[in-house]
Amino acid sequence: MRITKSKIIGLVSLLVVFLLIGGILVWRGAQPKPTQLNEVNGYLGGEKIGLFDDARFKKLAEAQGLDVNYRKAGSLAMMDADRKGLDYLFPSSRAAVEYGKAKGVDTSKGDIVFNSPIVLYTHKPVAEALVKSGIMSHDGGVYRMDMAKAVDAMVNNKTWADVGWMSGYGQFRIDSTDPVKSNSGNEYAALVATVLNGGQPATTTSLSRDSAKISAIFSKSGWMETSSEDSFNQFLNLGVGSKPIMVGYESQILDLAVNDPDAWNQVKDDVVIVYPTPTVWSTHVFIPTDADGEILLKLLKSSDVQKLAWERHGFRSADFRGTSSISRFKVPGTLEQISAASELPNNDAMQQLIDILSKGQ
Amino acid sequence: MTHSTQQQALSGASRNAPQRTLRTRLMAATAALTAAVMLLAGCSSGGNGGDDGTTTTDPSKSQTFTPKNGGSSDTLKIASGSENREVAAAIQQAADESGVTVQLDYMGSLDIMQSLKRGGDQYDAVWPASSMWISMGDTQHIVKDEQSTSTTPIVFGIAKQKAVKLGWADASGKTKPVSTADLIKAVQSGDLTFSMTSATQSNSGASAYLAFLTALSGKNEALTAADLDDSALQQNMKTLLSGVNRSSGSSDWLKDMVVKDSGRFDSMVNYESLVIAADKELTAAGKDPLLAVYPSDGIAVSDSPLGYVDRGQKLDDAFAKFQKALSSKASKRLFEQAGRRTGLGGALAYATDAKVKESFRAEWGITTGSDSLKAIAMPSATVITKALDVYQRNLRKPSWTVWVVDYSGSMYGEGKDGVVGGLKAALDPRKAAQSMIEPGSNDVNILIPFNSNAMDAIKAQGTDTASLIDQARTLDPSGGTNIYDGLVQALYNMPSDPSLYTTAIVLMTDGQSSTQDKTKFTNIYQQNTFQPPVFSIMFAEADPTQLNDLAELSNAKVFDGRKGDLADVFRQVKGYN
Repeated sequence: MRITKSKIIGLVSLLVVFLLIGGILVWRGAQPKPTQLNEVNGYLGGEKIGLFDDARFKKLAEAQGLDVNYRKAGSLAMMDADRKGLDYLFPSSRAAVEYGKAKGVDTSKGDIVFNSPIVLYTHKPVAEALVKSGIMSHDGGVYRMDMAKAVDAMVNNKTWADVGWMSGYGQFRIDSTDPVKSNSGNEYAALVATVLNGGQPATTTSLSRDSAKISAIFSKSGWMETSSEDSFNQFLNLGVGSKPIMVGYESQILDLAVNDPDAWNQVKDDVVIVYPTPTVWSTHVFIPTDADGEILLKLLKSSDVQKLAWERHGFRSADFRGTSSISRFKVPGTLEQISAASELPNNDAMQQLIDILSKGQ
Repeated sequence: MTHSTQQQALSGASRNAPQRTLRTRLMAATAALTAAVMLLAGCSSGGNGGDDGTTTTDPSKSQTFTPKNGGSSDTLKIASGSENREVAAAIQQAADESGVTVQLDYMGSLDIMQSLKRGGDQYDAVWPASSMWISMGDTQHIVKDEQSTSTTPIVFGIAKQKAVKLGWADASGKTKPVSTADLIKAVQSGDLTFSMTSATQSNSGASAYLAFLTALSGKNEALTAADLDDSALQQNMKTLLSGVNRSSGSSDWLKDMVVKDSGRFDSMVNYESLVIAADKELTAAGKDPLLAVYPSDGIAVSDSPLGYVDRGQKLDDAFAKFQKALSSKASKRLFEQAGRRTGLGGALAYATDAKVKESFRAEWGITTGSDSLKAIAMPSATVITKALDVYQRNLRKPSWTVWVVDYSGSMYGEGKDGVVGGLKAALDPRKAAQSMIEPGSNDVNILIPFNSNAMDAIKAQGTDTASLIDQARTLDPSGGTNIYDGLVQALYNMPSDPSLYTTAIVLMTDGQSSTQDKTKFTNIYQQNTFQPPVFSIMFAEADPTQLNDLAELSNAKVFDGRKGDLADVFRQVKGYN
């Protein structure tokens, strides 16, 4: 058989084509697969929504093959809710985890991801008035609320005028979220109960003694949101008449300053962060309920997410510190380190506290 | 213990699943049927549709905002309070900016709450007047990214002349502090009557009612369940509500009604933003404006939150785009031009904008300083529920409703079944309680069936409505249609002292009426010193022109019962009385 030049050219070009196709296939095979994202869904405390909606967080999650979704729910309410088909629970306290455990939730794989101190938010005129009457102090630019004095004033049904704020209506009160459903309200209740026990973590005995006082303090508030996020938004939107002082997380104002500079500029001369003395830590525990949830937990503990959560959303790490100085947020009156923090009551006492408060509603 | 609750939760969820698919199917079937009916209607009505705008649906019920550049792939269906009709410009701006089409279905706040309890129905988002309805309705944790769009306080709007006469304002329009006790005094002396939406159907009515109660309790703190049992407080509240001359299920419609007949309705309780809207219309017509009076001992503020309803439909990106555009500076400016506040703490963010100034005018009594807003501490959810229950059963002004119902031959079958179902939904105490419209002990309901002539009136006093419903069920339809004879009979069945009731005639018909008695009815109506509203429920072949004329004559409204559930329409109408 004669091999003509044209045949050779033909064969060679065929070979080239084959090689090209093969090469492309091999090259493509070597590339990472276009990722099929796994949807991860679960119950999330409202104050962490800013982080979960952050495009930077979504990108980090996608790199791990996760498409992270959530349903907003109070830390305690999520333990009673239908968890079918969900991959995680992300409440805001160890007390909520214990509560869940008692309700039959498997919390064994849970781990602490963030911390944020419980703080109070108020408006400048209220703060200044309360500093004058001595319930609050203003020291080194930091406002602090003496919780023993505050609880005493509430127990004795003092009015706003009694505690120095003449424009206030009715009785002095501190508004929180629903302590039976949402964590910030729940931890605030624990703090009140602890203060009533002379600063020692409340016990079942002290709670039995103080239950009427605790119910009375919470009945002053009336409407209570079930989410700390909604509560903070209402505080900002409706102004001083609607919530003179509210309980929240330190992270909320830091998040606002970073992510909504317009709003922050509108309120920064009026809204004041107040550290209660003592305060309690809100410990954000992530509980995976399946393998996808575990991947998400790993991601949350990664240094990338820890840094993002602090710098853009104000969540401190598991060691109670930010990954850098809090001065980066340019929010006046914040504390680098929290010294006066109280332990939460044990689980039996927390259960009893919830029972007391449920009856009051 | 724990185990059984979990099992319950699980079996509850699996029970819901087939229901949901059935509902979806039903909805699809209804949609197809509606489309077919609309096609037919389009064919037969020929050229006299004459609706302006791009949508074919009733604009008081539903409105669609398409981005001006077209090109929208996603449509958000939003369950919205009726007051948002007034901020259409801001919504259109946000649709344009985001490229997302939005459809707003207008309904009462209570309907939005109940829709959420059912899992959100077909909605992608909710936009009630106050976040309390989301908090109370979101038992399934499906609402996300809830954000206030604007705020507006609930105030009294009182005709300037009247306000000056009452000593509550000077000639410049500047108002004085008026307390709830002052309001009660003016009602008792007969100097003040006012229109207000039903507290169990609409947010403005509910919020005002809760603010009144809180102020009357005199404690300056959140209302408790025990306060509601206080007989002195109940009596004061009853007295104040005895001043209500017209009720409604919708804040926006209430505003329209007052504007239309401002000579007769000189005061209303409504959003500050709707008092502003009313004043723009009244001033344009050369009429006396309403002055905004902010009760000095406590008012409620609407925070108008928009939230995504996550049913797994994956429209969260479209929602995020729309929500962002709605909070842009351009949209916020339009909100404020329409009379809403968008600054934090209830302040104005664009107080120097010329058109914003035109809305927030001092000569209309509008105060933009935050010192006039003495927001009450809202009571807890259980107290709110109890307060609404007490309102419906005991404290509201009793209602006198005359049901004029078509029993002509064509009503046989489906039509009559619908009517009986509707009467049950509105009057059977147990069924009506589900929508918080149940009769109270002083209510009066009268049924006047008609065909070619009116038949004997059947009267039910208080909660005992069983016999009326029973007679409605056993009566057989036959003969022709003469709505006017039925209406004449209704006028003969008015209360001897109409000031003791909120009164309404509800006409339900399925066909075109003979007109031999039309003039007779119109004459009697116009000669009456008391002119009750004639609400109509349009069914099957009813003539919209005849019914619209009645609504025009009596400053009322036509409800369309031709599609959807007739019982729903009966419930809605009852909510207006």
